[in-house]
Amino acid sequence: MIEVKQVSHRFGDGSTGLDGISLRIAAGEFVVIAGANGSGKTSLLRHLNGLLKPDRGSVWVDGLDVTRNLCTARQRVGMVFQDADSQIVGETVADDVAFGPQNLGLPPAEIERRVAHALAVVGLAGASQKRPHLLSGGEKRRLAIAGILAMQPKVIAFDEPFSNLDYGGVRQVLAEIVRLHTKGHTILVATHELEKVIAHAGRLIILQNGRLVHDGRPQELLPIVERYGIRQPWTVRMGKKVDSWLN
Amino acid sequence: MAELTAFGYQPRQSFLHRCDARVKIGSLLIVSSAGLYARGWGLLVLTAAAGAAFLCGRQPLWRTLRELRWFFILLAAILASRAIFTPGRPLVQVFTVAVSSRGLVDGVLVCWRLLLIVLSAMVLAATTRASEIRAAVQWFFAPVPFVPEKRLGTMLGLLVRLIPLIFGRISEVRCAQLARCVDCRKNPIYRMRVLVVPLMERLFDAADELVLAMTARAYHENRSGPLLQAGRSDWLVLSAIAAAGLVAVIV
Amino acid sequence: MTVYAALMAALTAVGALIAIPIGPVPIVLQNLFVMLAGLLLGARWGAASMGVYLLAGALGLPVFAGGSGGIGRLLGPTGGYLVGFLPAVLLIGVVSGGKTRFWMRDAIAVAGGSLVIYGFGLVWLNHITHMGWDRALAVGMLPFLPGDIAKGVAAVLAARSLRPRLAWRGRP
Repeated sequence: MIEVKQVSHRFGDGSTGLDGISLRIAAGEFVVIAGANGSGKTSLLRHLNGLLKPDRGSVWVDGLDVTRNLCTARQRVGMVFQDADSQIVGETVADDVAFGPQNLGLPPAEIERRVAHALAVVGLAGASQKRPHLLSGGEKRRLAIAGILAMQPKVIAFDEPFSNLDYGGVRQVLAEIVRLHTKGHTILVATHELEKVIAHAGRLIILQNGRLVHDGRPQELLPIVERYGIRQPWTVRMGKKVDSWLN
Repeated sequence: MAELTAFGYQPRQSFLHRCDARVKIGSLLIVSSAGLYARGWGLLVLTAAAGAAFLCGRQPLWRTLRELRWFFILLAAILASRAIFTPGRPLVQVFTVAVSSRGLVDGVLVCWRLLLIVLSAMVLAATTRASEIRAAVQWFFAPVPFVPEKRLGTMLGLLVRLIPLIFGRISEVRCAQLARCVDCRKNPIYRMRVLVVPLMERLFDAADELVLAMTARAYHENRSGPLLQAGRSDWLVLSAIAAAGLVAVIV
Repeated sequence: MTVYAALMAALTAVGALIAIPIGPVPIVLQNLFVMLAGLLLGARWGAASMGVYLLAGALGLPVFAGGSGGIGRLLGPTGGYLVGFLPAVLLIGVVSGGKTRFWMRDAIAVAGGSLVIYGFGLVWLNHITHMGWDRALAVGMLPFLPGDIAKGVAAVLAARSLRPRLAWRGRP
């Protein structure tokens, strides 16, 4: 359902963002995209909904070329940003969740239904009239997820979803991601902290300097990730199986 | 955007780079004010002075001209407007549009003045570090009552520091909103409000953090700035420029 | 407050440097930030922020639209608009200030401020180009009027949302 064909991207300053990346992601997968800072994780995610446009190659979502169907692509591929604060628009929690559906031009009754549903899913129903800036780190991130859910995307891409969160916050967000996956969403997580999420993933993609260097099952790739500047989960170092942070 | 953070400063070894920032700013003020009054020969004298400074600062001519491309369009517009709308004996007449000789001369003069001043200002910007400019500004405003010169210096420094930060935040907020289909909305007022409010809230947060960070590094207003030293050569430059300005106004 | 004033000055600079593709044509947000400086910071600090902005520009930091140019830009044909920011922000701060916040006052302040900017801009434009008032009006005001009205409305609305946040922070 997502197909990336030979995509290359250069930034304005001449540095390489992505270099000839091709991959295909099927509906319902749980993919972790790992790599050191500057390896191209964020750039890759931003190509999936047309926030960045490929210099060469093309990106297809459900058979549609992303650069020609921006609105559809952005509705289908929801994106939760690294910095939840920059994503928050509304003056109350409910306002913020309504932002996306309003942009899609849905009727008010439908918007209200979607907002209530999205907030209930992430467990923020009681906070709908609060000011978003007063929420905790984990709650803000869940609010950002609700804002995306209200647009009813099939794919949800998370860019460093655990950065700056405490243990409780990480568990809240991780539980949310896993629940969304079991409900049938395709999940993409870009991170350099494998330990927190890899136990739930079915596929691991490793990027280095804008190139795709490995694509396979986590069990096979985990022993070699340290070559690419990614920390191995400690249980793997100890020779055991990876353990979920939810246990 | 990288050009912006560099603020036009071109690190090089030249006489002008070593010159005292106060002298350079003073010279710019003299050239600008003299340039506004001078005509004909006077302008030529000033242009010679500015040209000498330009060569002395070893500025790449092509880059400078390219930087000024929008300004040349403005100048052309002025020239055309002056030439066409100044009443006088028509020099050339095309249908109803008459170009008067007085207007043409006037237009050339105005454009020359502006170009002269802009070029001098660019020499200043290219040969002086932002921190030196700041120190010079503090020095200039120190005797002026009711202007807290130290605070002014701090604000100039913060201005320089905050511009790249704002660029970064704008692109973040815009990306996050595009991801939620904000471009499906056509109402520009809604779009502006939705962009500006979260942007500024975040920027106020960033400003607060900056205050904390500055305090944490023991910032206070009576701190030591870069050393400003005016040597004999600096005084020579200043007197030469002052003489040129005087000549230009009298002639 | 020093930092906030510097922040508004920096925003005014950024507003001049980039056009954001909103609506039918890219909009330059500079005036919007000028109006917000007056509405949010009040007369004194708003004027201080504009003063710093103009000073930085005059000294050759490239904070004006269309590249650098220093003091020459202030004396150039469009310089009147820039110089007009200072009195405009003063006026906006004075009119909108006071104990009672009322959106009508903000709106009047913003409209008045815009007129001040146009006033300074047009007088100088006419002085430099000798094009005559009617033409100056046609070139230097009418094309920008719709955009400025939109920006004014956006500024009043944005100030209404931002003020509680500023008050909540206190004034360092």
